Formats: sequence, C-alpha cells, structure tokens
Amino acid sequence: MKDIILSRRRKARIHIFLQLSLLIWIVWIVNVWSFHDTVRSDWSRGQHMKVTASDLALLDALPRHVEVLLPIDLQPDASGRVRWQVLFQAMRWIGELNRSAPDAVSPPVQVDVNREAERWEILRAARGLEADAVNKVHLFCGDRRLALELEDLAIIRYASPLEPEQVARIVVNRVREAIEAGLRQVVSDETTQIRISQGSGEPPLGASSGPNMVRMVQDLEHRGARVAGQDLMNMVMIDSDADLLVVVAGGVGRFEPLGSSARRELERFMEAGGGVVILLPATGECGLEEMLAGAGISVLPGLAAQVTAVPNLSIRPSFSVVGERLDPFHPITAPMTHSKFAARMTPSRVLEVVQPATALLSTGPSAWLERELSTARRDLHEIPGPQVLAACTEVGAGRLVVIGNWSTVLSAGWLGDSRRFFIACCDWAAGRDLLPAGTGREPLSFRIELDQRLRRSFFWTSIFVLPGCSLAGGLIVHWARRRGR
Amino acid sequence: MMRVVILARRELLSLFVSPVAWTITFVFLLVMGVTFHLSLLSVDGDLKQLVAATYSGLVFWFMMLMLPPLISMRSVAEEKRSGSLEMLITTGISDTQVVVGKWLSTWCFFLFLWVCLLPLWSLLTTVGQVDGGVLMSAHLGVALIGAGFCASGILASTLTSHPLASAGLATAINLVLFLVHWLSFLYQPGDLQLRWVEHFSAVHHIRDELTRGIVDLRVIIWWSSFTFLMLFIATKVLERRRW
Repeated sequence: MKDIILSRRRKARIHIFLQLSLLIWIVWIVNVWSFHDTVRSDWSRGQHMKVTASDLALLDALPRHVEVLLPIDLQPDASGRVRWQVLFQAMRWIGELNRSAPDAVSPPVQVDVNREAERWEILRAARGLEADAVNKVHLFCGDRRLALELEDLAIIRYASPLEPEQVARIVVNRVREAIEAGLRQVVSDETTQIRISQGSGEPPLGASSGPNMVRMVQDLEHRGARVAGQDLMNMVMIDSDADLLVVVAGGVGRFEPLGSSARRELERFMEAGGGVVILLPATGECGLEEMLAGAGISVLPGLAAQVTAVPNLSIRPSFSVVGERLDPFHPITAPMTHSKFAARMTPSRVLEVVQPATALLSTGPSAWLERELSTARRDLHEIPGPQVLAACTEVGAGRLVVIGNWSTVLSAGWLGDSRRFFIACCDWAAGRDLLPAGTGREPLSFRIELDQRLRRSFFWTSIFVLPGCSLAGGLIVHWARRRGR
Repeated sequence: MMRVVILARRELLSLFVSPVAWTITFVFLLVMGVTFHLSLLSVDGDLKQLVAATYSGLVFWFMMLMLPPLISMRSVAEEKRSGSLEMLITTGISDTQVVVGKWLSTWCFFLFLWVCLLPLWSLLTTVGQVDGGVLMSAHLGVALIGAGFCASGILASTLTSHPLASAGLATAINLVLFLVHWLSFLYQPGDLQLRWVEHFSAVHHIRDELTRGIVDLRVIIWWSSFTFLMLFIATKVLERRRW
C-alpha cells in the first residue's frame, strides 16, 4: 500500500513538474512573440506618439541607419523645464520610430552633460562635436551629421522684460515635423554647397575678436551644408559646385560696391540654377541695385524706422524694426505664420516689390520709411508702414532672395525668428527641403489656474474629505455589526 | 465560474466588515491625497504632468508594492492556520476555484482603493481638462500590475500559514519585479538586453509608457501571463496536500 502511495506521489510530482514546465514555456513563447511583434497605440488626446503610415513609409525609404545623440544641459528654472519637455518629446518620438523600425533609426542616446561629464567628453570626441553642441538633437548617418535646434523643434515663448508676467510655454510644437525633415536631410547624399561673400569688408567666417559669422556657419554646417568663402571683388567665376551664394553687403569695414563683372557672374549663376541671397548694406550701395530692380525688387533710399519699446519701459522711435507680417502662401514663410512672428532687423533697408517678385516679410503699420538717417523721427511726409523688409523672386532657373538687413548673420544677432527666417530663405534659394517642414501644431493645454479657492477646496477634499469618508464608512459598518448582534 | 464569483463576493464582504479594510482604505487615501495635492502644486496645475507625477512617484510604488501583500496575506494562510480551508474544500469547490476566487476578491479590493481616488480627478475636471486617455491608460497599468502583484500575494499565502511571512514573501517577489528596472543601467540604448529588461520592468511600463498614454500589447501580455503563472503555481501548491 505504501509503495502504491509513493509511486502515485512520484507520478504526481512528475506531472506537476511537466505542467509547470509546459506553462512556463508557453508564457515564454507568448512573451517572445509579443516582444518582436507588438502593437502600440497612443491613447492621449493629442496622439503625438502615434506612428502613422507616412512615418513608416519614411522609415522604409531611409537608405541608411541613422544614429541619434541628445546632450542635455538645462537650468532647472521655468524656461529650462519647457525646453526639457520639448527635448524629452523629441527623444520619445525617436524612441517610437526606433521601435517601429530598429534598422532605420537607433534609439536616442541621452547624455546629461552636467552629471555625465566624462561620458559626454568621450561621445563628443568620438562624434567630433563642439563643446557647446548641447540641447540639440544630433542626427548622424555615416560621416554626415545634422543638428536640430530647439527652435526647429518648437516655438517657445519666454518671459521677457516687456512681458514679465508671461510664463514660458510652447506655442507651436513641431517635434515630429522637424525630426522627419531632419531624417530626410541627413540621409541625403546631396550636400548643399554654400558660398559666403568675403574680401569686400564683410565680417569673417572664422573666429575673430570682432564681429564674425561663426555661429551662422556652424549652424548651416550642422544642417548638412558645406560653407566656404567666396571673394567677390577678384572673382572670375563662382565655384561650379556652389548651390547658394550669400552676399553679405555690410560689415566691419565699408562694403565695396560690386562691379559689373561680379554682377554679370551673379546673373549667369542664377540663370544656371544657382540661388543667391543678398543682405543689403545699411547705407550706401552694394552695386547690385540695377540687377535687383530688373528682377522686380527695388531698394529705396533711407531706412525703416519704428516706435520701439525698450526694456526700461520708455518708448521712442528708432531704426530697430521688427518684421512681423509674413506672406502666408510662400513656401519660405508659410510654416512660420502659425504663431506670432517677430524678426528684429537693426537697421533695415526698405524694398519696393513688383511682380513677379514676392514680398516675404514686412513691418507692422507703425513703421515708416525714414529718409533722414541721422535720427528716426516720424514726419507727415514719411511713407507709412507696412514696409517690405525682405522679398524673393525666381531668375531663370535660379532663385533670388533680398533681405534689407545684413546684421542677422553676425554671431551676436544669430538667434530667434530672424535666424529662422534667414535659414528658411537659404534653404529655399538652394532648392533644399525646408527645415523644419510643416507648420507644426499648437499643443493641447491641460493646465488649470491654481487660484486660492481651488487650492483650498482641493486640499480639503484630498486630505480630509476622502479619508474621512472611508473612516466614516468603517465606523458605520462597525456600528451596524454591533447593532446586529 | 459562479462558485468563483460567490467565493470572491464572500471574501470581499468579510474584508469590508472587518476594520482592516477600512483602515487600509483610510491610510491609502490619506497618503495618496497628500501626494496628489503636493504633485498638483509641483506641476503648477499642468494636469497632463500630474498623471505622470502621481502615478510614477515613490509613494505610488510604495503603495503598489505593499498593498497587494497586505490585502492578500490572510486570504489562504489564515484559512490554513484556522483549518477552515478543509471545510471550504468539502463544499465541492475546487482548488483552482479557491485560488481564483481569493485572487479576484483581493484584486477587486485593490482596484476599489484606486477608484476611490477618481473623485479628485473629477474635481479637477470642473475647472480644466483632464486627458481622459492618459488617465485610462495609467489606470490600466495599475490594474494590470496590481493583478500580477495580487497573484504573487496569493501564491505567497498558499506557501505559508503565517500571514506576516506571506506578506514578507509576496513583498520580496514584488520587489524583485520592481528592481528589475535597475538592470537597465547596465546596458546601452539599443542593446537587446535592455529591451528585454524593459519588457519585464514595471517601472518602465508605468513611467515611460502608460502614464504617457502609450498602451503596448506586450505590457498586457506580460502582466496577464505573469498573473496566470502565479495563480497556476498557487493552485498546484494548494493541491500538494492531496498527494
């Protein structure tokens, strides 16, 4: 009898062991299957993380693997938190793309520059990044690299001396659009060759103690362009591989007006399909006025002036004007019309535009054309705003953009909407995809105003009312039980 | 199935007539209420961030790790110790039904606690918008992970006849599942091992996905299969006394 019991017990143990093994195996198989072929969905209202069919098509079309690095160095203040939100969303979106197509995009590598200084140095050296290349999304594809700035990912409004009550907030979120455009550009074999005029008194491209264009050059190179200087005074021919020529007609010395040979070469370059961006001098001529007039863009004598509010809250007329009106239909400016635009231009020439040219950027109605350059003072005979500050047209197979202000390209002024506008002009003139593409979207706001009344009612409900209800419930049950006995 | 529901209902009723359930509810609501209030102030009224702040903080995890063992510690262990388990079996109910019924009651009570927090969210909807999808996905995560933790509590309860030992064992199992996440620091983004760690990590599921509105089928499958595995083992442990 004892043997039978023992043998049955042994059999039962073997059965249990086998059952357990089988179950663990099934659980493992099911999890391996879900690990490789999972389905993800975004339940949030904005659905920012939903990978659409067009995203998958983009990832499928990427010819090479793209790696992503996000070095982060932000202050823990209000604006830092908002910027962190944007970068964090970029990181999460790239993570989602990686989950959908691991062979196309690698998972983002995030580095906290302050806490992981050693790791950052190693990564920086390996990738050839500058020390200040932080708070950007770096995309790498082979030896090509492209950096997306915070301004490409979102438009953020910060508190300013003039609007101190404003808290930092995201006005337009275009993380997805910017990353999509960035991926397209970084895998592209085409490199935009940009030539910037030098030798006529322009600020230098390299680092120098005085005014320079270092930040602009770095920015353009981070976007996949190759930038070099072009001596216009002694020029016989614009480099044959150049896609875009930027004429910076202003600078550290007096700008020497360009001669007829340079003008003819520019015309030939544009006829052949090249792009030209001309930044006009504040005073004097650049030598290209006749050519511009032929293309429908005339440079008026004088400067744009505007009544400007300054940080100490006084208001006075000055040559510091703000370009705020954009052409809502042109590819350069259409993505920027989604939010308040303010490109500061100090100082700026005023343009007169006729067909087929298009006015891209204008001042508000409060600006005027000041012909007396010694002081800005509004007189009755001055031409009132809006004044055109930038215009563009197509010349032959090429494209031409004229901007009334040249100081945008200086490292000191390379920021904000004027920077964004200039980059978009360069991309359009060079025939590249505009970065960022698309208008983005206004983020959904789930913020509530925490006034004193709400704070008080929430405090009482969360700390007293709800726990009090459970206490009362317990006491009622206790009382009912005692009564039942 | 009917027997499971009847058993679960009986278990729930016995829980609610005892002071233990009300004490747990009181402490839970008090602690989570304070956390909720402080989180609301720290995110400066941003209700989208409030979901992540409330459902992935240290207090949240303390509740997730400690509550299921405390609720389930007596369910089988106490019956074994008092001998009422044998009486229960003689009513014709199977071991599987006992285990599932006990787990169901534990899980329902656990869910009841989290549902008690919903009035706070509805209070906020009177003054602003709450992202209902994110709130739902966060609660789905609480329910899934809670189901797994309750199942491990039931398993621990079948392994011992001492409620406190059962609670300790269940907490240890839950803690292992919680600490799995820290293995992720050993790997680099893109490593296959890291993806497997994330597959099993409760912290990753809640913090990086469910409280952001992302619902992944693998999260549902992992926690459902874990719950099933724990309940199956618990049933076999209970069956052990027959042989």
